[in-house]
Amino acid sequence: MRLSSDNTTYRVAALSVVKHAYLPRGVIGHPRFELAVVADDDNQPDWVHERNELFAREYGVPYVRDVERALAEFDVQVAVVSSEPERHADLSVRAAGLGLHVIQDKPMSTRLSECDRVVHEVERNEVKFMMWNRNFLPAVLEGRRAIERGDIGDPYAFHVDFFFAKDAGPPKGSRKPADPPMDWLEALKAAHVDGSDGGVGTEAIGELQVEGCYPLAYIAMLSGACVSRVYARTASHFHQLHTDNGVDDMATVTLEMDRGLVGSICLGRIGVASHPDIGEIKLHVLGSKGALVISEARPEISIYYREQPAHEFRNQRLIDIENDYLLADNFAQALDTDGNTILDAEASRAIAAATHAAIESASSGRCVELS
Amino acid sequence: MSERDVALAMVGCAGDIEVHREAVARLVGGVVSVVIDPDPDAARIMAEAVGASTTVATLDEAVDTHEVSFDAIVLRGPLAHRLTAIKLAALNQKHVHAEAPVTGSLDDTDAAIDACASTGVLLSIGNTLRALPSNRTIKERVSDRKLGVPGMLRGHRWRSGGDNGIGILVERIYGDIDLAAWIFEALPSEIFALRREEGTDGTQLDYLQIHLGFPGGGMALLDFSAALPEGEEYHSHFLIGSTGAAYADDHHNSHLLYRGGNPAALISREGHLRVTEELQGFVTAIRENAAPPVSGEDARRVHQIANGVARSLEAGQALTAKEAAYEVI
Repeated sequence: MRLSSDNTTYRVAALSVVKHAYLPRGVIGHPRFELAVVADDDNQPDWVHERNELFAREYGVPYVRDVERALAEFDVQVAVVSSEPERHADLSVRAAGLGLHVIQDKPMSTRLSECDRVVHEVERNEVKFMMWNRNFLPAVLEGRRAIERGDIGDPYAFHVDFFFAKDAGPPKGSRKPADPPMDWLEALKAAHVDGSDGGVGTEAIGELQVEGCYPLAYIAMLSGACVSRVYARTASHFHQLHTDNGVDDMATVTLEMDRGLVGSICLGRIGVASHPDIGEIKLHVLGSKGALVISEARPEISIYYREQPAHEFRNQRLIDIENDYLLADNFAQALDTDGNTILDAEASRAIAAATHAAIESASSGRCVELS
Repeated sequence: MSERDVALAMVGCAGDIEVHREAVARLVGGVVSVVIDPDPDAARIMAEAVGASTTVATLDEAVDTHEVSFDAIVLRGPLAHRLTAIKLAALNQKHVHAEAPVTGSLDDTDAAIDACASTGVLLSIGNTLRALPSNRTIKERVSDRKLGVPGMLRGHRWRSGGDNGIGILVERIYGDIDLAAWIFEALPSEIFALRREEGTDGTQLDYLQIHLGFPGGGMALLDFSAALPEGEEYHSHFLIGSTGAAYADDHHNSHLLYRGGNPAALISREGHLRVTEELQGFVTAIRENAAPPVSGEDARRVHQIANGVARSLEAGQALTAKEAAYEVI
């Protein structure tokens, strides 16, 4: 993989840093990107401004409560969007509309119509777009290299297990009859401390939307194919929060893709007790001449010691930081060469479409075709 | 039943000699008195391995001759002859331990159940995945509520050898479908299945994928390939419950062999323990006049599900349970 070699530094505006700060950190950790400003809309609630200000202070840059003014006044070329999912698309559309290139957290949006707006605006303004992903994790790249070498012949079946062994508040069945349903926003705000706040916002979203992007992105990259039909099952199985808000915390999806390729995804937020580390994340790929079994976590080191905190992973990933660097580098290369990013707007929209089709399938019990 | 050992007749000698040698050596309260197979050499080799004193060519011959004494049959071998053998055994008051899928169809399985019930002999099912130590552990943890309510079962089962298309579907998927039904303690309420027989380059794929929904929200996703290159098989499954999870995985259970180039994986499997557990369960059920650990009704359930899988493959659509069958939604 060729790394970027140009010396141009791109100035970055971080548009809302209310959840996964790893995204803007990952971008500005690369020498080709420099954080210039943090910005958000003035009408956002106090908790949003507090988090934004904290991030701005950490990096010694201004925090501006006016997105358009920040984009106009700070000579930025790239917008990094890490707001609540329900605002992802709007912020990306506005940034692209002002000629900025965009790196956006997943999911692309909770609505397909919003995804279409992003695709349209990115194309109209001829800017680059990348949805944050894990496609450059070392183990995933190892699998890709094996496939590209022809080690397993022509791959035809792609299976990904993607679990986060994290809690989301009290377990299902713990609410007493007289208690009110759990408030989604308040619960996800509280989850910020351990990074389990991927679905934060006023709109509850299930794990298929929160996490599904990652395994779908793996399959898209490894197969080069689009999903044409899905069959899915979802459930609120683990957490009272998801049950109270009518969203899934567990899903299985069968995928049928172009060229007769097939696949599946199993995912969920399965509770901290169900895995010693972050969760079982594996890829199984079948080909005409062999098969691959890839553990996404490796390489790892196992660490155990007396009075080790229960929440500390016993097996710790060693070089995952490479993913962040390589994603940022990929984006820099796309800017330098007017090339494609590893997960551009159209590919991100396709992932969103597959996710929405899976949700529809789970609701109807039928297979759902994608147009 | 008296305190003497239960005498078993092993019908059909295909399969791992060493596994059966180890299993029979550990059997308490049971012995193999006769091995039955039309191939005399195969019968002799198995008889030596399991300590049987006699070999004959057919079950008819074993039943007819007074020189051969046995209380029960362990039925293996081609599915086409199974029902006949079960009926003959039942008619002659011989208990039956039949390897899954018992017969090739639901109707024949029902006939086998009826034949045994009509004469009061046991119909016990072997060659399932339940008796593997890994799956017994999973079931124990489900039963004692450590894993909570079963939510998701995922399985991969890959091997070489091809299947001439899907082959006999129920024979291919029996173990994993039975495991799912056993874990979730129910028939699935929804079934979707797909297959790929040939790749874009004309390669025979023999690939099958089965997606099940269970009452209460449980789900299972299973895939089967018979197109690995010649060599070792791959098995992997996990169960996610509401309060815990279990992972049983060849990937995890591999050693490394270095002989230059990339290392090879040497997979540790569970050896003879499945057969040992199953035969002991059968013998104990006979001695104690109890129900066998896995019964004909369990086999019936798998055949029902397999019929649903076949129907979904044919229709190319998802099915839902409607009374005794599965229909397109």
